[in-house]
Amino acid sequence: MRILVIEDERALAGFIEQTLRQHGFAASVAGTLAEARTLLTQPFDAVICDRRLPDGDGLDLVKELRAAGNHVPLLMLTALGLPKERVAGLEAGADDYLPKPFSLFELLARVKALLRRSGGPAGLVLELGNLQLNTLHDTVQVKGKTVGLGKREVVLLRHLLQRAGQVVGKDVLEQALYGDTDEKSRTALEVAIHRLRKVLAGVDSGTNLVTVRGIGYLLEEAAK
Amino acid sequence: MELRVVSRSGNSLLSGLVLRFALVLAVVMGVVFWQIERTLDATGDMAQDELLRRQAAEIVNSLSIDTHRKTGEITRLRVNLTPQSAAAYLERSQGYVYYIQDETGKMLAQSDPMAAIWVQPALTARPSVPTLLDTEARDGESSALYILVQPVILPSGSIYVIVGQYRTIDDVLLQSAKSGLLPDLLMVLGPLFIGALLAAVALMRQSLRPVRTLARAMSQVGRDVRLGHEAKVGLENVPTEVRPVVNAFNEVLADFAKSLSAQQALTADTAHQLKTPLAVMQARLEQLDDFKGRKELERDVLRMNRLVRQLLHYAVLAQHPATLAPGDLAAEVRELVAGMVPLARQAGVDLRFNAPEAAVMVQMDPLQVAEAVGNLIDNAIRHSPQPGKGDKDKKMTTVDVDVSAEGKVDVRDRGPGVAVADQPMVFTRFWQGPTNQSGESAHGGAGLGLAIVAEIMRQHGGTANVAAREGGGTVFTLGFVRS
Repeated sequence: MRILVIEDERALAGFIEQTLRQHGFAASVAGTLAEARTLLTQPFDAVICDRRLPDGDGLDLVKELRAAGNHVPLLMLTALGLPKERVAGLEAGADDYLPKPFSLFELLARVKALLRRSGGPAGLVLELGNLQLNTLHDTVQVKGKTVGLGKREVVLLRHLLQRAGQVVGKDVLEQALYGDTDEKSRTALEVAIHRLRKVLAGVDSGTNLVTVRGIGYLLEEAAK
Repeated sequence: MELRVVSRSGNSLLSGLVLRFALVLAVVMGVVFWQIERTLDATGDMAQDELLRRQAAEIVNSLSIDTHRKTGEITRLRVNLTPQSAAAYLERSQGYVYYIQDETGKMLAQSDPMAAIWVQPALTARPSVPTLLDTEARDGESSALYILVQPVILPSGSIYVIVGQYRTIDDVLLQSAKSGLLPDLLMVLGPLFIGALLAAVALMRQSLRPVRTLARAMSQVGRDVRLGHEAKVGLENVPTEVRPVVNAFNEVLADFAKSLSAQQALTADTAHQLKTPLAVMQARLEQLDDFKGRKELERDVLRMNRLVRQLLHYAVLAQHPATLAPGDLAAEVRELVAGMVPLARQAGVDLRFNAPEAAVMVQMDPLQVAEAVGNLIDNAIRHSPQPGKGDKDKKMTTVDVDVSAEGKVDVRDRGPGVAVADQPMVFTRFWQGPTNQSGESAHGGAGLGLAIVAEIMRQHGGTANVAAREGGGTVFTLGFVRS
């Protein structure tokens, strides 16, 4: 998968490029908006974009891309980490916003999450631990063996995998299970989660399904 | 009521004006009183004068004089007063006295055997016209004698009719004026004084209304400019006297706006300048193989990151006040907590949330609320005891975030807690709690997080409190204004 890194600070761009390569991504680096525009004539699976660049604001590039109908997953990277500026970035069409300074591991995790959510080619198979979910056929496998799961449990698992490592709200999961009907039932969601958890614990899935009290659930990779 | 308010605010333009007006009014009234008293006095004198002249005339007209046929000398002089007048001279309480003498000082007639003593100062006077003598009060007498010397020219020479009276009319007049007229005047002028004062207050208040309106407008414009909007105070409806002030204000404001935007640019620039090398440092560190002291170095970098971020936020917070609107506190905090769960789990903390089913509507700036509560949660996570290696979820320490229907947010940890003596200090800038030997905070805080929380809550008109948690740990409580 190809990722475009737009960052004028050479050292930082170098580290990002290196980290991405180490994790199996192909990375290209642009140091200016002009360079980025040239490179963006080719398709990329994700873009990491700094805001302050020698020839302008990265935010303008995001607006340009979105206005042109380009919906490539985009992570804003910036020193301007204040809440209002973060919101400005997201409103301009960025999918996520990472204030500097950041951990390369967090950057990597966020890029992966962006790719998962985008539902692009990478989204066809959602992976976590030993778990694989094929979104095309809604089949679940652990270490290559198919795991039998009910329809509801698969829907839950797909939502949790798309946001692996992050909390998915109860309301989101209920919406996914029952749509907009008023017959939502907390117990029904809890029953489905209970079943899913039991199945995941039974096979060596390499994941933990964590209850976050008062908010929802979180699927994370089990500590090895 | 109004007056009390006025006198309380010593710096008020209105109270100053009213005070001066009251002073002028009091002086004017004093002068009026003094003038009235003087007039009364003069009137008394004139009445006395007139009375004495009449008495003298009466006596002169009643005189029957016998003279020696050859020498023309006065052989007999009689005063033929009406019985009524004669009685008046006999009645000493009325204080009338007469004494008649010739040029040589020979007594021709007197009203009383003591008359010569009473009119003594006039005995030597030989005026050619009626003359008034005002004598000093003598020992033992309560008031001075008032004396008129009336010359009467006869063929054989002049005789002098001396009429005296104690100044009883004066006294009576003044006394009646003082005991009757002046209080009467006071009864009229007192309410007049108060009425005038109240009218003055009302008038001045009305005249000062444009100033109040202007003050409000100026403060609004000041806020707008601080928020980074372009604004200035309009000159319509502004009194001419105040216009120079408004013009000066607008000029200062324009300068301020210019320097503010310059400062903001500088702040943002500083952030960029500091943060990018920090990011490089962090990335470089993460790329390195394990080495001795890595943990400490990572912690230092993190601490620096936090400090830079918080400094920036604290600076910006002072320039950009929160913009408040009704919002659901529970939903805002729920979303925030959800976002912080992964961070908490990395630190081995079980972050939990609790809120009522219904929305909790409060006056808030959502981004600021997220910053304030986020700082508290971040603190709670960093102060929570680390679980030992191999511990499973059940042994994770918990941090509870509760939103109550009253618009309060509680963040509870099981950390070391804050000593009671330190509790009032925690919201001040750069307070860090117990430090280790090298002077660093034990938990890598920058010491600004809680100051930011306090400032945000101040801008929300809310409260920020810290207390010990039962069973160990700390509870931070933020109280919002419900809407």
